[in-house]
Amino acid sequence: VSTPQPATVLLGRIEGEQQRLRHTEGVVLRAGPGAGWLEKIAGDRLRALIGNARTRLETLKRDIQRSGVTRERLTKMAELQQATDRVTSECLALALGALARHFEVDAGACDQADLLIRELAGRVDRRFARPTVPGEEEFLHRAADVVRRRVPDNGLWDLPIMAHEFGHVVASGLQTYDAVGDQVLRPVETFLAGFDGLRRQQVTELFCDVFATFALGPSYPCALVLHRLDPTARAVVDETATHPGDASRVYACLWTLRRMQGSTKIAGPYDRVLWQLDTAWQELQRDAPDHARLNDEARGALRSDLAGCWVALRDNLGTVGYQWSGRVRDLVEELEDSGAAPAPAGYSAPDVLNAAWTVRLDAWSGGALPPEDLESHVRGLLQAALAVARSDDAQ
Amino acid sequence: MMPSDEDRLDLILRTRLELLEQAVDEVSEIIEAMTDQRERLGKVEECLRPGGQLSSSEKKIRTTLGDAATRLDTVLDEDSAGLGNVDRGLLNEAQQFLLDAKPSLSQLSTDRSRAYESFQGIRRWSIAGLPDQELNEAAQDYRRLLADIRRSAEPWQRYAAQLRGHGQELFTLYLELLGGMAVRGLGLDAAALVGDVQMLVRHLMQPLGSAARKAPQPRSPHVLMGTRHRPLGYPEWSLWALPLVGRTAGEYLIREGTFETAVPEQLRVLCADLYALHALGPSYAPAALFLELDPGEAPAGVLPDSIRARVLLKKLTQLGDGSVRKSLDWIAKQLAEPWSRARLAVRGRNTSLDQSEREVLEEFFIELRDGFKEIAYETRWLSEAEHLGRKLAEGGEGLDNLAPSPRDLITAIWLARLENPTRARLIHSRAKIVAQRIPIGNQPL
Repeated sequence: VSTPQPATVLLGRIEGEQQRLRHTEGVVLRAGPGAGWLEKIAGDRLRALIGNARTRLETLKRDIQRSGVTRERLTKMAELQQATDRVTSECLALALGALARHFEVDAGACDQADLLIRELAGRVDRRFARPTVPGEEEFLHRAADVVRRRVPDNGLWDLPIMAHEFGHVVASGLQTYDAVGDQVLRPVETFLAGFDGLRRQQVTELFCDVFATFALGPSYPCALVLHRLDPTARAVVDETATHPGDASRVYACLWTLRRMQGSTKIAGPYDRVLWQLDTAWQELQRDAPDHARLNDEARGALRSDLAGCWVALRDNLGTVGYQWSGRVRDLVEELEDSGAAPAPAGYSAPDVLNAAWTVRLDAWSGGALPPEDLESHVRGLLQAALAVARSDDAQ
Repeated sequence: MMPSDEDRLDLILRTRLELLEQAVDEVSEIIEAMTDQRERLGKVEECLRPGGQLSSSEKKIRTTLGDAATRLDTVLDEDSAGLGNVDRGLLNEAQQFLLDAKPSLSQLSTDRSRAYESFQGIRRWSIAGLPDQELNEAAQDYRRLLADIRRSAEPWQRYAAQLRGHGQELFTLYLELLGGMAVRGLGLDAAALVGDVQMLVRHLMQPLGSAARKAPQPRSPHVLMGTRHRPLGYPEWSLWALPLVGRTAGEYLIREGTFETAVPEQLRVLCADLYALHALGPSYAPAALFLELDPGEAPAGVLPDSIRARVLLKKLTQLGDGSVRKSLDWIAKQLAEPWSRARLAVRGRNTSLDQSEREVLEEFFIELRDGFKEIAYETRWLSEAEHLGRKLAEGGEGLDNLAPSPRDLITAIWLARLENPTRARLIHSRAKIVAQRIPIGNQPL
C-alpha cells in the first residue's frame, strides 16, 4: 500500500494555503459593497500582506521540491499556516467591518471616531489619521493600521477611547528629524526599546493611556475609569498579561492629568475631576480584594514608567497636548441649561467631550441624573466641532 | 536698620493704607486734569466775557460801520455836486447795506451775551470750578498722615484714631468731586462700576422675585455699601469693595422676611455676611476682613467684628465639596494670618456666640445651601477665577477677549491679590479695563 509522501502532503498544504489567500484577496478587496471603501483605506497594505504570505509559501514550496522535507521545514509550514490564519482573519474582520459601516450597523460611531482621530492626527502628522471599522473591542491591528471601535459601545461617552488606539499609531510611527545630528529619530520606539516581550506591550499600553489623557484631557480618564476598568482586577499583573493592571491604569491617567495641570496655588482646572474620579474609584474598590489596590512600591515603579512616557510626549508631541480653556465652562453652562448661553466660538471636539463629562459627573455627584436631552445636545455640539475638523481637513 | 513695612505691618493694615494711597494718587491725577481744564475754560471765558475778545471786536465793527455811514451821508448830501445818477444809486445801495448790517451785529452781541451766560453755568458746575488749592493741600496732608501711620510704633492704633470713622477733608471734597462728575457722565471708577453693581444686585436680589423691583436701585454703589464704620470712603467706589454690596443686599432680604430661619436682630449682620458669602463666593471674605471689619473692640451692644471674621473664615471653607476644600482652606489661611496679627496689634479680646446663636447661624447656612442653590457661587469654577486673576497680575496683553461676569472678576482680583500682594495696583488697573466692558443691562451673571 502506497501512502502519501510527506513532501506531497506539505505541497498540498501549501497549495491549500495559497488558495485561501487568493480567495481572501478576491473576496475582501473585490467583492461586496464594502470592498471599494476597504480598497481605498487599506488596499495596498492588505495586498502587500497577502503577497508576502504567498511569497513565503512559494519559497518553502521550492525548498521542499528541491530537497525534500526536513524538521525545520515542517516547523516552518506550521508557522506559515498560522500566519495565513492571521492574515485571513484580519482581512475578513476588516471586510466585515467595512460591510457593517456600509450598512450603517454602527449608527455613525465609526464616522465620528474617524473624525476625532483625524483631528488628533492634525496635531501630529496628518498621515497618521487611520480609519476605523466596527469590531468586538477597541484595538489597532498592526497589519493594516486600522482601528477597531467597539460596536455598540456607550456612544459619545466612549469616544475618548479612540485616542488610546490612536496612541498606538503614534507610538510605532512617530519619527522626528534631529537637525543637529542630521538623523531621523523614533523617540517613542526608543523609549519602548528599553522593555522586552509582553512587558514592552504593557508599557506601550501605559504610554497610550498617558497619550490619550494628554491629548483629550479629562474625558479619557472619565471614560476609562467609569466605564471600562474593573475595580476588583489585579492592580499589578504579571509579565504574561498584555495590559497593565486596572488600578495601574487609573493611576496612570490621574497622574498624567495632574502633570498636565502643573502646580497651582489655589485651584487647578482638573482639581475637581481628579477628586471626583479618585473618590469614585476608591468607593468602587471599597469591597475589592487587596490585590486590586496599588501599594507604595507598585506606585513607585509605575511613576518611573510614567515619567518616561511623559518625557517622550512632552519633548516630541507637545502640540498634541490638550489646552483647557474657558470654553469648557461655557459649554457646560450651555449643556446644563439648554439655551441659557450660546455655545462659545472656536470650541473643539475634546472641549465638548470634557464639558459633557463634567455635566454628567457633576449631576452624579449631586445625586441627580444628567439633563434628559444631554446626549442629543452633546451630539449636536460634537458634530459641529467635528465638521470644522472635516472642513479644515478638506482644505 | 528700620524693619520693612512688610515686617511691621500686617497685610490687612498694609492693604488699607495702600488703598488710601491709591486714592490720593487718583485724586492728584484729577486735580492735574482740573488745572488743564481750568486753563482751557479760561480761554473760552476770555473770548466770551463783556469786554473780552469778541466784545472788543464787536465794538470795533460798530465804530467802523458808524464811520462808513457818516462818510456816505456826507457824500450823498443834496448840496453835493458832481455825482452822476449811476454813482448816486450805487452809494445809496451801500448805505442800505450798512443799515442792514446793524441788526445782525446787534444779534451777534445778544448771542455772545447768552453764550457767556450759558458758559458761566457750565463753569459753575464743572470740576474745574472746584478749588484745587484746597484739594492739593488736603492730598499732601493725607499723604503725610499715611506715611506717619506706616512709621508709627503702634500703626493700628494710629490708624484707628486718625482715619477710621473720621471724615477726612480730602475725601469729603473728593466725593463731592466724584458726585459732580457722575452727574455729568464724567465719572471714573464709580460710573464704570455701575454696570457691575447692577448685575451683582440683580443676582443678589433674586430671592425676592418680582418684589426685587422695590429694592434699592444702584444709581450709586455708595447707596448699597452702607456700613456702620464708613471706614475708608474711597474704596467703596473701587472693585475691591464691590463684594461688600452682598452684605447690604443680605440685610435687605432678611428685613423683607425672605428666609424661613428666624434671625434675631443681633444676628442680622452675621446672617447677611453668610448670604454674601454664599451668593458671591470667596471674594466676600477678603473684602470684609481686609477693608471693613474692625479687629479692635466693638461698642457696647454691637456684635464684635471679630466674631463676624471668625464665622466668615469657618464658613468660607464650607462653600464647596471636597474638590475645593484645599483651595478654600488656602484662602482662609491667607486671611486668618493677617487678621490674627491685626487682632494682636490692637489687643482684641475674644468673644464668642452662645449655643442658640450658633444654631441659628447653622440653620441659616443650611437654608441658603439647600434652598438657594441657584444663586450660590459655583466653586467648581474657582480655577477659572484663579486663571483670570493670574492674567490680571501678570501684566502684558491678553485682556482683549475677556468679559467675565462681575462675580468672577471680583473673585479673580481677590485671589490674585492674595497670591501677589505686591501687584495689587496692577491687578486693579487691569481689572478696571475689563470691568468697563461689562455692559449695563440684563446680562447673565
